[in-house]
Amino acid sequence: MQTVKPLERGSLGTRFQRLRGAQEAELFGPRGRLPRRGEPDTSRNTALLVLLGLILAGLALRLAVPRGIWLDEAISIHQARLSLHDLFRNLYYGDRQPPLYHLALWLTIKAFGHGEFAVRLPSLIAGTLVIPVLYELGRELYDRRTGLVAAGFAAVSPLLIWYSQEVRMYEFAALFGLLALLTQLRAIRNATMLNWAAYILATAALLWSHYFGLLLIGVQQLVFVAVLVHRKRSGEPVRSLALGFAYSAAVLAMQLVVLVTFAHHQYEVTSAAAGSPSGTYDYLSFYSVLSNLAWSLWGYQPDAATVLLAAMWPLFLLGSLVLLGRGGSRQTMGIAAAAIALVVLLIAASAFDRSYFEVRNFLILVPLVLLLVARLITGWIRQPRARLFVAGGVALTLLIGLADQQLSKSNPRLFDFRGAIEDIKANGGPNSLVLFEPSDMRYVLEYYAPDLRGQPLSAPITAGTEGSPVFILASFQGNKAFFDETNKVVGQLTFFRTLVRRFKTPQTLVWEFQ
Amino acid sequence: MSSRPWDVRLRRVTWEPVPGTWSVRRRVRMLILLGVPAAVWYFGWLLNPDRVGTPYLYGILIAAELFNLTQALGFWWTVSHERVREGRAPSRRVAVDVFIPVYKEPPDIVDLTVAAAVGLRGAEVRVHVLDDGNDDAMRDLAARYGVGYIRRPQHTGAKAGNINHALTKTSAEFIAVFDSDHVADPGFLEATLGWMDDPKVAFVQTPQYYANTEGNRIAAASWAQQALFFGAIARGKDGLDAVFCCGTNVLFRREAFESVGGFPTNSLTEDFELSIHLHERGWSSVYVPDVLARGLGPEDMAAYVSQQQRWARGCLSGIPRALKARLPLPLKAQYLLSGLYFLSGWTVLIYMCFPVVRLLGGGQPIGGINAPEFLLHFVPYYAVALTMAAIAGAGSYTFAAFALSAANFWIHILSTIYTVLRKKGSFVVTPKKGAEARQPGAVMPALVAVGVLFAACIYGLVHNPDAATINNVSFALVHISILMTGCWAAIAKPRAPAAEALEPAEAVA
Repeated sequence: MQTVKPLERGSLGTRFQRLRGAQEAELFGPRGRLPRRGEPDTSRNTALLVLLGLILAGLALRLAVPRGIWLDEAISIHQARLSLHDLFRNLYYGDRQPPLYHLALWLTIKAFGHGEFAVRLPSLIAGTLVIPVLYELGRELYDRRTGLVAAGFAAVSPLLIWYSQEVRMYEFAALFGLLALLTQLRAIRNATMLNWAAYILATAALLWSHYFGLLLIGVQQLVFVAVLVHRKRSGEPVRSLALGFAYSAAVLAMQLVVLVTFAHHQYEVTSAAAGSPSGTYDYLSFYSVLSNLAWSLWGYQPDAATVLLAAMWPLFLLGSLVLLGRGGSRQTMGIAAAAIALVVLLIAASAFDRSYFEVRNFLILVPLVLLLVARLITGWIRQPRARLFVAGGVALTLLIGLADQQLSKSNPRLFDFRGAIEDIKANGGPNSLVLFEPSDMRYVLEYYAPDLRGQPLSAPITAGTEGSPVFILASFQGNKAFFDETNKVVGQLTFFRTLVRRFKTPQTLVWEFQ
Repeated sequence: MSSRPWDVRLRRVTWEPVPGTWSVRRRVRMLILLGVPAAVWYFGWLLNPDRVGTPYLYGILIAAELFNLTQALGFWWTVSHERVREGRAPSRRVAVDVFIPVYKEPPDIVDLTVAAAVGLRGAEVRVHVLDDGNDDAMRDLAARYGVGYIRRPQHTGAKAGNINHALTKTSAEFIAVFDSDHVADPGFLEATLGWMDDPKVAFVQTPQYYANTEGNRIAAASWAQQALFFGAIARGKDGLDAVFCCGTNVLFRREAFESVGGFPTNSLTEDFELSIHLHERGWSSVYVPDVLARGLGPEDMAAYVSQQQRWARGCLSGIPRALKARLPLPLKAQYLLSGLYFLSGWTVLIYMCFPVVRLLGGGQPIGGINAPEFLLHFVPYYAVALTMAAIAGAGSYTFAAFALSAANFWIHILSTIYTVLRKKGSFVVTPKKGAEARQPGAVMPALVAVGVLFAACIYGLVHNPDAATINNVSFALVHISILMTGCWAAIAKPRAPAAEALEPAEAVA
């Protein structure tokens, strides 16, 4: 007994901290970064250098766009080429999205024209910015290493790349959602006016980019309340936080008055219109949840691959068991809870309209999931080499998913209208007529072939086509109404004209009649 | 003087026996409100005759699922009755005999145990080393500390016989028992003796804490299993007045002991059966959830297997005794739940067989359904059950603990067969020092299972690589991952003790 060394309080305390690990780092302290198990974090200069490399790699992958403009994108481009007044009018009377992204696209087109690269520029910039912002969120929540791993995943994430190339608002929602989280964290840790202003701006940008941003903002309000209650109970000062929260909530409420009026009108008008072309949805099931989750990580895959990925659901059981006893830091629990809450809210929203439950509508989840995966790797794996190996392995699976998504012709999200229209342009004469289905295909034709005569399939064929080829350009044939209409007209034309050829590009069918 | 100068048993206790947040009782009760409807939702669907796939597989699945449901409901019921007792100081000066039964353990392990026992406060303490190994070094050790040394001429009845023999040689009103590796906290008696003021209390049990978890996978996983038991389960059993004796770190009333004739010597888990006897006689038991002694968990797979075999055989053979016991129904149910737990290895085997049968071209238990439908019914129940385990474990019950238990499924199977065949077992003391070599032999049944699962996966993928095969391969991979995690400590090269493990964290004051 006498041989026992006297107790060293100082070293004990340090070791106790180490034993408990960095996950015990205080989320709402000045900065919650503790090196895990006493291991030094990546140095600032190294981190910045690696981050720069990741941004460049991510940008390069985002610049390689193998597909053309599809229906929704063509509609957005059409709207953004109108006057500002008409743009808002068009959105107000014929769309279901808030106007921020369209405004950015309008400015881009004014500045750079409406070439394919130009119209993709807003999403491209937002998508590339996701990489450093995710790094910063990871650094702020955990450490630089976690931030870098998460940024690496974001650089090669198939879905983030897909929407960085799409002329739609989804990447804006992902970027501003991340910024909203980052600025919220900073406002909670250090309730300065600047941090609150940044938070208010980020949430406003999110809200005016995508209505579902409200789901994330709603979860954030709960976090504010929870932090206030926690601080009040533990006797910490809450005044500055409460004031900032009240001010941001007031600004949010003011925006909502305008936005809800705007959205209400949009939904009233558009719900009376015919169903969306992509409105052929199965009932919401675990399969659709699983396939959306698989897509969120590995991108859009052919149905056959998605079925196989979804069949691996037992691995989720393993994942849940592995989490047993892991506890997790407040940061991790907070991010995971926010992610789960978002999915649950989206499922609830899908009860009203099944089309809401689509991975693009919760694109913000993708970087959050990537951050959690990055934290699992940096938090659980102690050996640097093993950590690199696992992170590399995850990145490799993402890259395989990316290659398949970008190159496979069976990608369910790939609509090759460009290929079909170029063929029509090459083979049709000046008087040729294109009958298209669905009717919104006019915007695609307007973009790729503004000089080509075209009309919806359902309209009577105009005069002056005698001797000229007639093309039928049809897509969304999974929709029964569209399929029936196409079938009917193809049958009629087959009766009156000669079918010269029939060809298809991904999810697009073309008939040429003489 | 201990020859283990920086003994891990002197380290700071890293386990929080009672979580500092919301009470487990309250959280579990709230979850039960979700769990019971979820269980009804799942089983209502599963038991529908339309679900029958291959009839015999369906029957086996139902048996396994109902067994698990019984265990889950029993677990929820137990932990929802959590009682948290504080230590209670003695109200009068009494004499306590402290028994340290030893059987060929290394003297350097026992040294600190004896030293700590001598330092117990709060009573007139009479320490006795009960040496069943006829070890002169042990006699010298006892002499060095000036404590009693009892060696018996005939070594019948193992540890139970050893203690029973010591009862005849001692006379104090209370008896504390510590295994040879359990270093008592000086305040052990100050926290437990007060509860003996109630004359109906037969024994006061405290946790069996393992101090050697850092740097040793087996001890860590084994402790994580213990932590769940000595955490929420033991507190729940206390709330139901159903705590049973665990053989060490326990304070007995001599009168209670003698009223049942001491420890039963015909059982491998004499403490389990002793508790049944005591409860039958109307005695009550108490659980104080404070770490008042620190011991050593099994340090290698062979030691773990030996310990688990003894517990499984003892508890399984105790089931008929519990069934016949004249006990109130809740108390009887508690004993049965504890005993039946050692059948759970069968369910592991059953669940492992399903993907193998399917991949080799056989049938499957449930037919005519799709995955979304199954998941819709199963996931709520599974999620609640898992959350309940996580909450009850308060972070101490880990995947490694679960995997270690699953990888040793065969122990339950073998023990059941031996128990049914009434094959006699022998009491083997859990080794206190780990082997320094790999021990694949100790996990061979699990490794064979991994081989079979792997071969079935390959066969299935080669012959029919469709979604159903992928689904069953995923199931097989889940089992393989769990089994390999559980086996890893036996097949990996044992870690050298870390330098910091040699430093003391806390002195026994």
